[in-house]
Amino acid sequence: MAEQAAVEIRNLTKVIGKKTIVDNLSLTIPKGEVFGFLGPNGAGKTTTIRMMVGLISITKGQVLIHGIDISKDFTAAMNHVGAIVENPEMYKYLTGYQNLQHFANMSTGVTRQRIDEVVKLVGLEQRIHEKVKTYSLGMRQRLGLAQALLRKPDVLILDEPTNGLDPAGIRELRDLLRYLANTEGTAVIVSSHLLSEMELMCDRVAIIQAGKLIDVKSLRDMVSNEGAQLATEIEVDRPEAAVVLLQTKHPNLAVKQNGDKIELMVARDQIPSVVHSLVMGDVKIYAVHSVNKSLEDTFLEITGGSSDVVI
Amino acid sequence: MLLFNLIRNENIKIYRRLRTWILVGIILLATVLVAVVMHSRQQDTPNWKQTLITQNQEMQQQLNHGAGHMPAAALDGMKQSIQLNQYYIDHNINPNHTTGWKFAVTAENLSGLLMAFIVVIAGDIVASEFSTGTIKMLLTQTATRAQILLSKYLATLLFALFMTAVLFVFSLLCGWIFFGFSEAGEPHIYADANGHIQHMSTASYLLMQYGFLLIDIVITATIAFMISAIFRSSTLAITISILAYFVGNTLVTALSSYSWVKYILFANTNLSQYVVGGPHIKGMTLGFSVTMLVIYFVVMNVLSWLIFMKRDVAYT
Ligand SMILES: Nc1ncnc2c1ncn2[C@@H]1O[C@H](COP(=O)(O)OP(=O)(O)OP(=O)(O)O)[C@@H](O)[C@H]1O
Ligand SMILES: [Mg+2]
Repeated sequence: MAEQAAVEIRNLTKVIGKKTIVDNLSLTIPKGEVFGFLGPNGAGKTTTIRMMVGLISITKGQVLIHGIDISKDFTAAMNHVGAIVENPEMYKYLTGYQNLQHFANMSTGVTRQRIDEVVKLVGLEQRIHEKVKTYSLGMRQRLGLAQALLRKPDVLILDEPTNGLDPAGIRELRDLLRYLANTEGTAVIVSSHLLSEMELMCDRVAIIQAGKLIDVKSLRDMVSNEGAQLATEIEVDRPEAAVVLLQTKHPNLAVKQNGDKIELMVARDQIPSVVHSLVMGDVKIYAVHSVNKSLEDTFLEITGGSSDVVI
Repeated sequence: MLLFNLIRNENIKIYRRLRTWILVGIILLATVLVAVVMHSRQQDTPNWKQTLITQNQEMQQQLNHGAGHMPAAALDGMKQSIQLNQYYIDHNINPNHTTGWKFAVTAENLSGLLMAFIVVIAGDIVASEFSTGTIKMLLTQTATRAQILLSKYLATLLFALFMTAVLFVFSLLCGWIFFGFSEAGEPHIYADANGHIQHMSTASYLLMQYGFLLIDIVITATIAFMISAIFRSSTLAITISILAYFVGNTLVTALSSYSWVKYILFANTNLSQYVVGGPHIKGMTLGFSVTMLVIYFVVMNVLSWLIFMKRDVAYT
């Protein structure tokens, strides 16, 4: 028998009134994978997550956590899950530590030691005994993460976890999620609009638009450079002359000047011949930059703001 | 075990808030105030025994002469009074003298304040989780919604019990300090359901009143809790249940000529009517009221439970 998926979503659908907010979503997420939900505002990412953790009813379909149906055995399924849905809200009149104790009391087997451990993991040791009302947004986000980690979940579900974090915090989060996935085999689901974040964080990304699953892509497919056109910048001493030169030698390339640089779209295996032409034309080259087509470009291209999306 | 932990969590959330202790403080302050006012107004009546003896002689004469042409009830009443006065004279108790126990009976009238404060907590305990958004954290642990709602309801009842105990213990304490510890057995006089004069010891009367008060409190707290769970608004829950408590009783009295009024919850919440003063509406019995209370109690709890279980928790 194949190893059971950490999370399996089958035909998940949410209808409110006459509006279909999540439309027949099916996904399988194995252990040890960092999986992203990517979609524009209002795509239905949060709604999907709310159904996955039992906050809202499921119109149609199933959510299985380690094979356990969340709507049939909530307690057993949630025993595997740690979650943050939108901004984590804590009791402001309690300290961070008292908040964690409160949530620890609700699950079996969370020791005082474990609380100290998660506080350290999220880097809140300094302020944990202060009241939450004195916390900044990023500190509350960290406390929320600590709460989600209390039960050592096999499935970690984080809705926009980078919201409010500083660059160092985002990096720490990324490293933590990577560590959990690789070492502890945790399945991590994150949603975010910060596309560059997803690029660095996730193994695979589901692109969701208007409640529909558009595509699931492994990040290597998505940012492939085999044969793809790379946006290339070349810093030269005489940009005007360089543009004229390339237009005659390589008439199939679109070249334009940008300050003291020239910009062109070119395949990787063509770059040497472009450089050769410039050198032969007596143009001095100071630098050559090739930029991978980013997930953002792909994402915008896929969703494209239009409904007739073709992949 | 989990339920025990959940209740402990709810208790932490109630008692770690300053608000709760302000409410407790107000109850204590109000009780002391009543004690100080009553203490300062107490007059010395050194001749009370002579006054009682004279009163009894006059009443006895009236009884002897008027036996033929006075209504039976009045004669009964007079006989009771003579007995009582005799009791006071024999036991050397000054009836005008406030005792610690009598004070506690008077202080029980602060129950309106008590009720308002209990409703504040009962109406807030579910709604505040929604208004702060913490409900989603609470519901994404391993506890089921039923367990969470039950723990909140039980914590509410425990708080109600605690506040009632505060008033009870503190009013006795104040009474003993200001007016003395003795005379627990002194008779408390009241008219029963048939208008007959009755008496029981002050201590028993006090306990009985608190027993009836607790029933009233459980019902009123349940109303606030239900509105809180259904509408997720503390303001609505607190306002409606306090209004219901104060206006409800008045309304029942005002409409007491209609017999359907007996099906209104508030006609039945104060069970002491069957011991003291008689029922609000003719023909009501203790059994009827208890049945009505049980029905209302079950319906309110089922409603809160059904709606809380099904609700989509989103878009806070
Ligand atoms: N109560 C409701 N009734 C009808 N539609 C709703 C309701 N609540 C939310 N929606 C709609 O559901 C859609 C999905 O919302 P959701 O919060 O899941 O989006 P999201 O992908 O998380 O967006 P964001 O990136 O902004 O967080 C939105 O179009 C929203 O307007
Ligand atoms: Mg969202």
